[in-house]
Amino acid sequence: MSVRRIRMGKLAGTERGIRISKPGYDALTTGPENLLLNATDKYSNLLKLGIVYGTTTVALGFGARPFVTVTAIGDLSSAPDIVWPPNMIGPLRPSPVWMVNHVGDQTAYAIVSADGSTMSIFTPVKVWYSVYSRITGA
Amino acid sequence: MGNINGSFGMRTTLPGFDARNDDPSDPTKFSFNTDWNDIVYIDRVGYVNPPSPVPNTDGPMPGSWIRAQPEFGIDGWDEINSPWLIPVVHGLPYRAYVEARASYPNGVIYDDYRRVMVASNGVNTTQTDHSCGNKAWSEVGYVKINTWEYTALTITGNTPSYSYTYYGHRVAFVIFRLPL
Repeated sequence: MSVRRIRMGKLAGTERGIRISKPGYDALTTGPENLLLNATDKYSNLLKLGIVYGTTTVALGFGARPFVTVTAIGDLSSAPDIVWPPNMIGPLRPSPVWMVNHVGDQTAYAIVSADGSTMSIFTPVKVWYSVYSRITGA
Repeated sequence: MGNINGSFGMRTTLPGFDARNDDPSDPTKFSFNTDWNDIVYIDRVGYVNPPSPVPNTDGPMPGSWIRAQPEFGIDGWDEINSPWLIPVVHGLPYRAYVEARASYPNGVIYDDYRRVMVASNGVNTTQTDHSCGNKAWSEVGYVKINTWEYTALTITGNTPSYSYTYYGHRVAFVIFRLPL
């Protein structure tokens, strides 16, 4: 028995969008692990990636507050007794860094405006940010 | 979209290319192809709130992990049943990759799970704000988010003493399905 691998329009419940499944799975009923494409209002898409250096306001231009994450690229170059290989960069965990007395406060956080027009990132270090399509009022 | 050369799926190209006839493995021509099996999918994003009322117990600490049976004096069973751990996904047939961030009202989001490492609070006291613990546990079948947060007031002197206040906080999470 064949299955319908492409479903488009009204899906389960109030969900709208497009689903395409792997061979042998019905696109309407199978789980997300068997979907090749899932473009619906329930799931999310990554809309914007970027890097800022220090405190910056990023223009978003949305009509509502989106979902964002920020990832600070901590800097331990001034910490004593640490050999810091050249070109070695990346997030430090936990963050902010624990050696605050040696490297200073490297806290990074973002405030997204209620109307979704801008995102202000506050940090003394480099920060990666991600903006997703899921709209939340929070 | 549809039956493309015998395979059901969807392909989208950059301007000037043919979605049916150009080489679909060429990323300089195609922007999406359901046949690509090496890309990451975003399963879902969302927020999770701490339990209410706030539990008067410790939550999972950084570095702790969940195990089915207590071993070597580390009680993983207590961790998995902590009221601070909020299940957000059930029935996943894979172990998800999860990003989690401490999140607060009015659109404020922090890197990782704590706001401040140490804040000075006078000459003889130190107040530490802990948005505490690994923020996400991801196992095959489920993802749980740790919402525990506390403030510890350390009163120093001949005999240091500590005072803890528990309060939860919201966590923002992103669940990814990796191409395994």
